Amino acid sequence: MKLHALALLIGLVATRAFAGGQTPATIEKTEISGIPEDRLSTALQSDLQKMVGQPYEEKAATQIADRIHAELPDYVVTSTTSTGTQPGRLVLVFAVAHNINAKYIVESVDLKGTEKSKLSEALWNDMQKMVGHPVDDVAADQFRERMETELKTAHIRRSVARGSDPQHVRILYDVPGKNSVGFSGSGGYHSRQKFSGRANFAYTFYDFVGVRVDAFNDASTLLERYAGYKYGAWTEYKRVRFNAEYSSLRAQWSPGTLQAASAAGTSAELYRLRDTIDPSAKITISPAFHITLGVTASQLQIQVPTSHYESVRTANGNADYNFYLSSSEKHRLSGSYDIRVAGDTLGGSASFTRHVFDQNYEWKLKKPAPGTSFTPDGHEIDFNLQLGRITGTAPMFERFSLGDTSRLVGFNKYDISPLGSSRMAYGAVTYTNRYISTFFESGSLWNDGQSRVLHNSIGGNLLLGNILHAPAAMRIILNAARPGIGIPLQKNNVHPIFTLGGNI
Amino acid sequence: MLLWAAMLSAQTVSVKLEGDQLRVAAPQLHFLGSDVLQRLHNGIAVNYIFKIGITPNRYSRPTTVTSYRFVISYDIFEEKFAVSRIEPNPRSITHLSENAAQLWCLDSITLSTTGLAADQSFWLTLEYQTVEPKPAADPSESLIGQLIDVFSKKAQREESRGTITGGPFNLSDLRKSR
Repeated sequence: MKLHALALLIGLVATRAFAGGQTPATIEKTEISGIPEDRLSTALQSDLQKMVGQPYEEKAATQIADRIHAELPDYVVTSTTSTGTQPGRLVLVFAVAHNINAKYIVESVDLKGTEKSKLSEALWNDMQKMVGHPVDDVAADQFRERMETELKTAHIRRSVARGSDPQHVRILYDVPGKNSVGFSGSGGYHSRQKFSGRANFAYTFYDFVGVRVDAFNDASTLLERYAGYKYGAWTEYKRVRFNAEYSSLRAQWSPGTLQAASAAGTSAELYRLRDTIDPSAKITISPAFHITLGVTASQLQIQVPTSHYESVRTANGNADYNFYLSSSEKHRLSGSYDIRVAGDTLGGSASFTRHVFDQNYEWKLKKPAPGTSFTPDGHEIDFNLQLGRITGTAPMFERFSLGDTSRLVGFNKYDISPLGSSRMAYGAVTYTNRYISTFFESGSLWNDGQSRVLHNSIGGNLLLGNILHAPAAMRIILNAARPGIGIPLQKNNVHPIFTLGGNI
Repeated sequence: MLLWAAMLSAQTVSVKLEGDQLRVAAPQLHFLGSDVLQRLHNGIAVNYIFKIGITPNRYSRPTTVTSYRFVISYDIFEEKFAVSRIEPNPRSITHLSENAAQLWCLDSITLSTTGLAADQSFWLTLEYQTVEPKPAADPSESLIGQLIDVFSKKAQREESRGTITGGPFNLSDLRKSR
């Protein structure tokens, strides 16, 4: 009897091997991944159990997957297999998930940007338990949250990448660098105001504490050329970034400003040194909308009639936004409203209110190819509108000016308004493509009660790196240099302004 | 103004009447932005909420809104998209191209015409945005606890969102054009 049974078994195995070329593996266990098994009907759970011990057949597995999908139609259901505990055995897994990649088996769990020794052993071991199982988004995100807690960072990114074996994937946790150090610099040249430059050093510890140092020699931004240093530190907690800055800047006045101040009898407003403390808090209301609140205390060293100090203290508020108007991300609206108020309650010698409204609309006629942010590859039209108003008597560094390397380029600010103004209106339309940027600008500066004179100019910049098809690093430098010209649109005294670079 | 008009015309929504349901058509709408596509190509599923509503004129807020919730994912081996409609009427589909995945979502979106008079003029507003997956709800958590949680939460990743509007429509005209 035993011999008969053995012969039958050998015959059966031989027949199967002959018919299929290979003996199908036996199902050792069935698993449901992604949902609790009790979400399936009792009948389906029972049929799953009946598969244990049966030879694996893809058709039968697909039928079960279809039945699960019929019961849970919003889920993507796929069947997959993993190696069993013994040769010739397998575990049949039904991945039930909203992420189609749940059907793939995790081959490895890796870290980028940190080492496993930085994580607790318990967390690392738990993470490794994902290996050999289908991708489970919920579990993988829970591990990311645990990592963020242990590493004290909130910016860990998770991704799923193809593994070395078919149908196997790697889960990768990308941790931003703990320490990051950056150096940057920018510069510009205006044929009437000469060179301006800025160098910056920044250090960031994870993404929640940072310090920065800036060195300036800038004739473009304000009415005075100022040179000196600014030190700053920030820390970010939840939605709020606290920032504190101290700057010490020496002012140098143009002959035009000195002459105008002398004629107007306001030479006493021209300071020689300006030291400023500027604490603020930036609140992220939504990723596209921020509010910044702060105070600024400046001490000005004035030399006329005798050397003395005056202080200016302001309470500051700023709201900025930035969002796309269309799903294609071709239309972007951004802008800000800024208010500074100086008055008796804050102390200081100045009393004024300063409003600036800055709006920008960007229309990408053709989006640049990915990875070409330094070498604009598309076509873009940009509309910019800036309105400013000051009531009261503001110090020189708060007064408005136009006619520098970035606004009303065809003019020299000391020709338009050497002492600045309390009212400002400015608009620009800029077209940029791969090789050139051309613009039309219009702006006016005036004081309360004065008539307005509109200044118009046209101009353009060359993106030399693209024009010359320079190699990558040189292309970035040449494109940043942007040699340009601004031509005032007026009947007399038409002297073009030549520029290099842009905003400091 | 011309630019604005040109921009809006490229982003409008039209509708078809099927029985007592309005079905949305917005062939110009590409709601899978570059950031979202990057996340999808990294194997991460992205949750979307669409809200469709009827308004009496272009700029008023919808009185009744129907929400649709989708999860979109991208098969990193087969390089095809999969879409799950979570609510209402759960369904899912796989092996779609990028455009087909977007069209499948939009084709799923309908709005009942119940309560609309045949000659009543109306506008249709379709809003969409990505959302973080719903965390498991803790039924024991109090309202105050939930509020504290909301305000102490780190600012979430930048959302992809948009709104398109179409109209004016009325049911009589839509019935004639069927």
